[in-house]
Amino acid sequence: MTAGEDRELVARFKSGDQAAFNQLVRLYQKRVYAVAFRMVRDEEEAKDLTQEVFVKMYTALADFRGEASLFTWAYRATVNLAINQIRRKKIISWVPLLEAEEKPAEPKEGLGERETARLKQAIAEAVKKLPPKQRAIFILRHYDELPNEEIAQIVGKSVGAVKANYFQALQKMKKYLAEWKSVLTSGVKAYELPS
Amino acid sequence: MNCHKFEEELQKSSTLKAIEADAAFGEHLKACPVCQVARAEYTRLFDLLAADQPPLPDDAYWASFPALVRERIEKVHSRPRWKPVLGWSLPAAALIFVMGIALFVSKEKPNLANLTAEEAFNYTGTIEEAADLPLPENTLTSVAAQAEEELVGTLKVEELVYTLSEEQLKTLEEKLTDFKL
Repeated sequence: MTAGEDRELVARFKSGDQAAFNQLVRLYQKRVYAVAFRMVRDEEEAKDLTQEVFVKMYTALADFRGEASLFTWAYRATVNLAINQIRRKKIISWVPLLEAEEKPAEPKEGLGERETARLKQAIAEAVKKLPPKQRAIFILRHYDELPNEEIAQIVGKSVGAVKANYFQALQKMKKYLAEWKSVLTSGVKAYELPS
Repeated sequence: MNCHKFEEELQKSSTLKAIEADAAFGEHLKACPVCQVARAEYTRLFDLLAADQPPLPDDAYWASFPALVRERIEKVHSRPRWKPVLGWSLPAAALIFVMGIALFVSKEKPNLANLTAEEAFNYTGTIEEAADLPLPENTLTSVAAQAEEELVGTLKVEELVYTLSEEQLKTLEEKLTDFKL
């Protein structure tokens, strides 16, 4: 989906074509969900956040001028909502009576994949240790492979800060996942050097 | 030998393949043992991270998703604004009051004289505020403050990271595990 196609759908929606909005939702729903899940690490919360992003988008489209791509807008909304959610959870956990017990995610894999489930859990725990904005930068950069400039727009930081935070996040992830190093040592794919 | 070219490349390109596709850097990589070690380490990390795929809801959920969004939009738009304000204002005010008291009681004021840089940082929420606390002379706090200053909004972080000694970096990493943007 290009920015031009985005604009066309937005224009159709603004002129009263409600189906165009549904089309935008269908186009972006899974990508928004993936970012939301990686941020909050909870399926139900991620579903809820994803819906909320599109509710906000519905209202915001009236003023959308297409200066940035719609998906950049959606990423920004997802990241901001997720960060708020994470912070809210942190505050709530300060109040002993309302403290939400964090349940480890249920591994989806069968018995043969127990190790993979443990690894996923370890990654989830490691990601959760990253500060919210650094987490967002890491996710957008590593998993979504967005360019630094776009991430800078999304999180509202300079390109330099994005680069620095991505690097810091990688260093931390390396440290947090150090015990898993040996698991992959024998199974690491040999990357060919360019000739 | 202290080469950071691989890390520098890593900050520019998000995938290892993209880094290795750069012919000029490929030549360097062939000859540089430090970068080869870094490459092996990040290859392992990236392989580990590849296992982390989000559990996507099933197709039925996605098929009904636009309708769920619509439902929620209608709920938001049809909600009369004055009713919830009147109906919920009193319980909400009471809840905020109770939560405020609970927060006040639960957030004990720490003994500033015994705070480490990290604790000060966690207490205040930002490194700037932490640096303003009347803490005893603490080299680490100033290092952390300097790091934060350098990190935010400038490109100097590369210089900073690469100019600190291994020992300083280790201490900084241990104490400043959660630097804020």
